[in-house]
Amino acid sequence: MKLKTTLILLGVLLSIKCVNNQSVMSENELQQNTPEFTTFQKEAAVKLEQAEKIFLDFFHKDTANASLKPKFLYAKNGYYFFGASSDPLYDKMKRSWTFYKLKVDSKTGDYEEIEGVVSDEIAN
Amino acid sequence: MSTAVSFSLGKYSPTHILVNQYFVKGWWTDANNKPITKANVGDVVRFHIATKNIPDGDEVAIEIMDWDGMMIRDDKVNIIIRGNSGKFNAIKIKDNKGYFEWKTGKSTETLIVDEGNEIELYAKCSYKLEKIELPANTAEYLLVDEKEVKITVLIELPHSKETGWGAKGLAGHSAMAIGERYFDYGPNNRPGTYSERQYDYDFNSDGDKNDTVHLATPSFKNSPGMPWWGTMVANERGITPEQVTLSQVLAFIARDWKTGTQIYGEVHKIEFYAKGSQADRMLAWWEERYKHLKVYSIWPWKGEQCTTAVKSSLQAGGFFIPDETQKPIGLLHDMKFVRSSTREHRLQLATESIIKKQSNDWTP
Repeated sequence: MKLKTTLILLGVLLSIKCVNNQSVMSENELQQNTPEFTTFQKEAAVKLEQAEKIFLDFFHKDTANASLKPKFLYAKNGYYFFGASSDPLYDKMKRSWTFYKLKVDSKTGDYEEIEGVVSDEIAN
Repeated sequence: MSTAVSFSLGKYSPTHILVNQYFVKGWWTDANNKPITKANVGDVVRFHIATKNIPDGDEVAIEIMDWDGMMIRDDKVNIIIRGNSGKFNAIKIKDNKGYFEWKTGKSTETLIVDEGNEIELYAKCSYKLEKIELPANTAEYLLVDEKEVKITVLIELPHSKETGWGAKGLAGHSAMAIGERYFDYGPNNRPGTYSERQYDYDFNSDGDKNDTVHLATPSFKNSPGMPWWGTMVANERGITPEQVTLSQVLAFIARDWKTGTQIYGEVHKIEFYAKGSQADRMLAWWEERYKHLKVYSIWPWKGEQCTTAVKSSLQAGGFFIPDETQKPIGLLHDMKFVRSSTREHRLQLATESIIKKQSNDWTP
């Protein structure tokens, strides 16, 4: 009886995890150097290189970001997402955080400033 | 022969009678000729005299004295005159008046420190055989004290979500400013080659401080020191850490931590006032530290860290901070008992304010 209960609970937990994984997958974040991203690039009117230039123009206008290192994060829902990482040398324990900065429309090149801390999984 | 008879009934006596042949009165002013009775070291002051029967071009000899009370012999103050006379300590008279100008400086500060208190200045004036002490009333003597300097201590407490070393205080920070000059201390975590001579520290523990040593993994337990927020602000502005000002750091702190400041804990600002000589001693401590950045370490027996650096500087200035203080929270507690030492703010407790709340969107 105990074994049966344990198996049922395990099944429930696994199904919850599957749902969560599906939800993460459904966000569809395309990492650079993946086949999905290559496909996305082929169809995009604004290529990553152009989007990067738009981002860097925006980023360098804000001189306050001197210690941040700009980086491409991922593409999602037709947008390129860019961010910046803090310098680990400026944390006493050498930690670093990555922040959202800008998203660029792959169809038009229009961009929008975004805020927030990028999760470790994506930042790395 | 001239006669000068002065009857003074004490410092605040309204009654004063002068009988003399050459001198009418003497008084102190600032550089704009506004009468004053108080000044601080560093101020430009003028001593004026009004005379009678002294031809244009003649000079009145002057000695500046520190009044020590009725029963004690007064001290002569060594001064450098920038006045209108060619001679040392003399006023050239024109239309029966004249003055000399004097920028109070180190010798005055030394005298104040030696006396342990402010000094009261008057002038011994002499022309031919007539000698007189002016101003006639001691209440008009010039009270000179050390300049007062605002001391600002900045303390970032570790974020409430910090864990491990961070929660123990490493993630917070302590810094200070003497007037507008800003100073702080942190670890230089960059692997590289460091000169023992420059840092005044025996990095390789071989018994001397003459080597150039490669440090592969410097960390908060043992690394070369460097100005902390000072370096970040300096790099952003293209200046050196020595040039960083308090205002620049306050603007840096005010920014969102996600702009690269890494300041996400609650930041407190504590202010009080120190005498110029105390400020000079604290300044000397930091200037020496910036000259030789030594070693940063959380281990007190190995090196210094941000809080102990601020503590040592305050102690050098004569302010009591217990030797045991190691963490930002401890320093914040100690600062609640620090009092200003200047005449204007004598014994007033340091004021404290929170200038930044901890960031809600930060996680370790």
